[in-house]
Amino acid sequence: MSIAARARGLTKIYGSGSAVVTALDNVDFDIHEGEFTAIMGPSGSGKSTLMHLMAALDTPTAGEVYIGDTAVSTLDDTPLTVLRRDRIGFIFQAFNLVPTLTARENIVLPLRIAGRPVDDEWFERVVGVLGLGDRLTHKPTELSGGQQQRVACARALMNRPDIVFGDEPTGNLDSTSAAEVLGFLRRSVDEFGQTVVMVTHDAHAASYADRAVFLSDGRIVHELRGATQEDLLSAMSHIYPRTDATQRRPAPEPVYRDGGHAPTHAGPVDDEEPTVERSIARRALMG
Amino acid sequence: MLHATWRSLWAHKVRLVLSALSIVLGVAFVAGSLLFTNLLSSSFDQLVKGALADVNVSAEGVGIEGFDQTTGLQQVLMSPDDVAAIADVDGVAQVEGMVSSSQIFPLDKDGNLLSFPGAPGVGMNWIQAPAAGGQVGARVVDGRPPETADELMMDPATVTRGGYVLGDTVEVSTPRSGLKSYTLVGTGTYGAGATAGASYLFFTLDEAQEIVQDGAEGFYAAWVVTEPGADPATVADAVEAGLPEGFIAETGDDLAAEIDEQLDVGLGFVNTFLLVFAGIALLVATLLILNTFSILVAQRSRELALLRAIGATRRQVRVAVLSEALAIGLVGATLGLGVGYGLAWGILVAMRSFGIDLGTAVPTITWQAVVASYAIGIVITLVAAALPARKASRVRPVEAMAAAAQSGPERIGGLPMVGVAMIEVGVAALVCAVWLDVPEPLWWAGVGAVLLLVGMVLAAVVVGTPLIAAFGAAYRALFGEVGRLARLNAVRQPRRTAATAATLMIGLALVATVAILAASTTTSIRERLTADQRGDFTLSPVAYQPFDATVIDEVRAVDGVTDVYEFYRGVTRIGDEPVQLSGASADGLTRASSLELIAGSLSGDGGAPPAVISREVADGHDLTLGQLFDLPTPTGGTVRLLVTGIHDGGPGLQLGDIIVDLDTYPQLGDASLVQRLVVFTADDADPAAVRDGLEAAADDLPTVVVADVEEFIDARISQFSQLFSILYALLALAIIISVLGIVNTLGLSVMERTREVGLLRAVGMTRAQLRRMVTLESVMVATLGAVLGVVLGVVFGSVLVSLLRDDGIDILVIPWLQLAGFVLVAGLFGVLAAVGPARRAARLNVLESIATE
Repeated sequence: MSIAARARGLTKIYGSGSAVVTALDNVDFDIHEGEFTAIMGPSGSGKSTLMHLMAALDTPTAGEVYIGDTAVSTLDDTPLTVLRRDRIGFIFQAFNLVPTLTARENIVLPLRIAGRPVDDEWFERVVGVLGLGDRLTHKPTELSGGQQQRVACARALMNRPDIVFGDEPTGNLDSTSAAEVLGFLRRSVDEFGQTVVMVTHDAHAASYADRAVFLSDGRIVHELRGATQEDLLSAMSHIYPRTDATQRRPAPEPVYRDGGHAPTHAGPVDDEEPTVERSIARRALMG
Repeated sequence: MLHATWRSLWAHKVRLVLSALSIVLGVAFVAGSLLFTNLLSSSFDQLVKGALADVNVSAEGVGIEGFDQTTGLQQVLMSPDDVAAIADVDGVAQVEGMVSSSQIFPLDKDGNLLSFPGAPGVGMNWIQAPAAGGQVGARVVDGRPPETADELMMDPATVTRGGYVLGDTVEVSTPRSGLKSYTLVGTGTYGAGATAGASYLFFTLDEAQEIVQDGAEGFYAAWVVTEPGADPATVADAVEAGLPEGFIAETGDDLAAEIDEQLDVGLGFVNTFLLVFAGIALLVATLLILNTFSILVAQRSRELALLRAIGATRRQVRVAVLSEALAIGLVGATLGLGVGYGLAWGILVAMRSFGIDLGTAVPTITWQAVVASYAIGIVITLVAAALPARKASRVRPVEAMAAAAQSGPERIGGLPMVGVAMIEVGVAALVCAVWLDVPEPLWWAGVGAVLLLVGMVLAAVVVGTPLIAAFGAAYRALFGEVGRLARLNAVRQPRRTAATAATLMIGLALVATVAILAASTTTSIRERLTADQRGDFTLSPVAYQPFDATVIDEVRAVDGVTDVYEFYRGVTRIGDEPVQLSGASADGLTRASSLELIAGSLSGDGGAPPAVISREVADGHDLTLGQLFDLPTPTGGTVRLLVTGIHDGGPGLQLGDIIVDLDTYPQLGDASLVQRLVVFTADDADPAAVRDGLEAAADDLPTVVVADVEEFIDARISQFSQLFSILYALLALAIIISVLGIVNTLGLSVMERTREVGLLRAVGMTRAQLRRMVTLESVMVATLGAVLGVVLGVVFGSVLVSLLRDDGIDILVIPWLQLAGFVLVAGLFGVLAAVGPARRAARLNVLESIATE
């Protein structure tokens, strides 16, 4: 599996003097082609910063981002814009659409801006998959939130980008609409071989992904592959424990029925094996 | 609550500045117009009142020096005894005999005339006496009055213009004695010192009589100062009783009123123009402010909703918005008043650089200007804020907080329909004014024009639709999606776009009207002059003042000159009616003028001298061909003339109502001063040599200009160009204000669309494309306004010209190329207006923009 984008030694520092905030701290990160990656973490963990840097929307303080083989930090604004336009698709949490344009016009907007022809067959296919066929002439104000996000999905896919980035794309949606959008992203990976990267703090949304990366305090701290919602939730509860000790309810001591103490660990565990490799192994078993 | 308002005001400084700017601009526009109008009228008041005595004695029908351009007729004089007798009349404190001419021009150091085309060069004896009502009359500014024949005093403005200092020798062109040199011993002036372009030269009494009256003793007028407490009207009656035949005594107040009336013909136009201008300024200002505030409050709907959510009542929200508007309005109006004051000064300085001196009058802040400024600044701002504030306070907090901080799509509503109705009524009124025989057509046209203009402002959305569609198609073809987006942005808030375009529309409507008026006026005059021109060269004076006739013989002697025809001009009376009298030869009338004779000719049969009279005179006095009539001579006799021809007035050179031949003219008028010479040259003569010869002949007469026909016409027309350039300068103000209005609206629109800009950038719009998008939108709005304005201007101009047909503007010329140029320039202004907002938009950080609430 080849690499669609990678980050090396990525560091982003905001502010100066005493107000310095290190949003990303020397992060190495690869995005695999044809994979659905979820970047997870609580607010302030650096997940959005990582996505923005990977998507060439922002420039790192140190380190480098490669989209394919292109080093992003050396690019001027215009080639950067062209790179975003041609190789990257975006779905934002809200305000994805230009209000003066219809759904169809919004979908083909990046192509039009680039002055490129629309591939009608591809358009029909994407629109068909998203079920937007009867909504194409509507203005954004005439669409529901879910429909708007689906239009945004279609737009993100129209130029067949290397990577589609979603920044909490379902954050503003009800659960039904969210499921539609996530289902579509999943299908775009499975059916079109699209690479998708999504930032979310929602375990349910992340469960649609092949791979979940956990950030905390600007570092990648954990990674899961093919995790279920339960896996993700439990991982989250370990990685991001509540820190207020007074509120912590002491976990009940595991005891045997007869009242005797249970062993503190269940047999030998290879602590050296990273979770990533474990999950690959598990996937191999499952696949 | 108020605290929160202030905090929010300060938090958005750019927005604050932009919104205050719109008020400053609007108020400055109105205040500037009002202040300048006031300045003009006070300046002319000073000029008029300062130049009149309590009681003024003059020959009937001659008028007061300086304002009457028809001088050149032989003056009837009072003897020194007549003047001395006035002093004995009850109630007279002082009496001074006056000698004056309006044809005495100072020369600058290069020997060129120090005067402005059309402005008189007043030369008179120095009189030190108070003016009407005890106002300061003539007074010494610097130095001393002339004491010997070779000394003179000049008005300070002319001295400055000529670069003279006291003690310098100044050459002066006189009508009878050619060039004479004087020593400048002082500067002095009348009343407030306003000269309105005229020059004032003061001599000793003897010298004045020498150069003005050829040394004749006597006075053409007398300056009478009444004793304190005496009623000028009573004194005037008493004085008049003792005057020789033909002289009258008038009070200063009566004369001032009369002169005001005369001036109103010219000045009234300027006043009306400025008033219309101020009204339009008000309209533009209102549009600007309404526009800005509706954007502002829409942007803040979320913030207001938050205030509602945390417990502010609707009333509190409304009060907050209104107090904010009040604060901005107050600051804006104050600044605007200041800027307007500066603008009035700017116009004054500009006029001075044109050479039009308005004397000591300076812009003073009048209560009208203050009231208007604050009324506009505060009331209109409050009204502008009240509507959106109501809307904002009505919205349920939750709704508003969920909505994006943007102006919603606008409904076009009923106003444009009202506008369309107004346009229809306005057009109907204009049609009535032009084609139907209605009373007071100018009023009909005025009302029609106002209705049309306001209607267009209201209905610009509807009227501009085809234009916008055309633009859309062109943009799309030329600039692809960027052009399309620009068009969509421009029509997103149709009312806002229309209001912005309307400011420019109003300005350009005026500019186009003036352009058409200017083109039509100059073309009409040119046509008339061209049709009237005969001969190869003309010798004519600047400022219409006749010149020494002795030059005729010198001109005849120039090599290559075959014929010279002279034209004299004066005044006479037929019955009780003063009429223009001309003297010309029979050949001259046919060869050297274009006057159309309805019947007859100017040739006698050896009996009574012949006369050609105008049809008006013929009709008015029941004269026909072959009848005899009498004209008075200046010395009290009469000359019996035979009507040998009738002319139609017709185009041209304003030959008089009565034209007599050269033998008769000296009996009726002053043949020592000639109005105009028309020179014919031999076919083989070298024009340049003839010209040099003619110039040498006229060397002693600096007021005389030798011109070939084209030059002559050009010189006449350039006088009008100056007037029109002042009008253009005023209008430039309107255009500048409206361009700044576009900058303002565009800047606010871009701010409002920050998020959208971020999105467009994120999905691949380059900075260049973004800048282009903003620029195209601006160009579209500007051009829309410009095209509508030019269309309006063409209508106004055409109507005006057709109504002024009787006043000599008989050819309607629409300078299409110039008008197209205006539209093009407006488009360029659109580009300029977009520079700031486009830069701002392009500089926005993509991430921050998207994150903007």
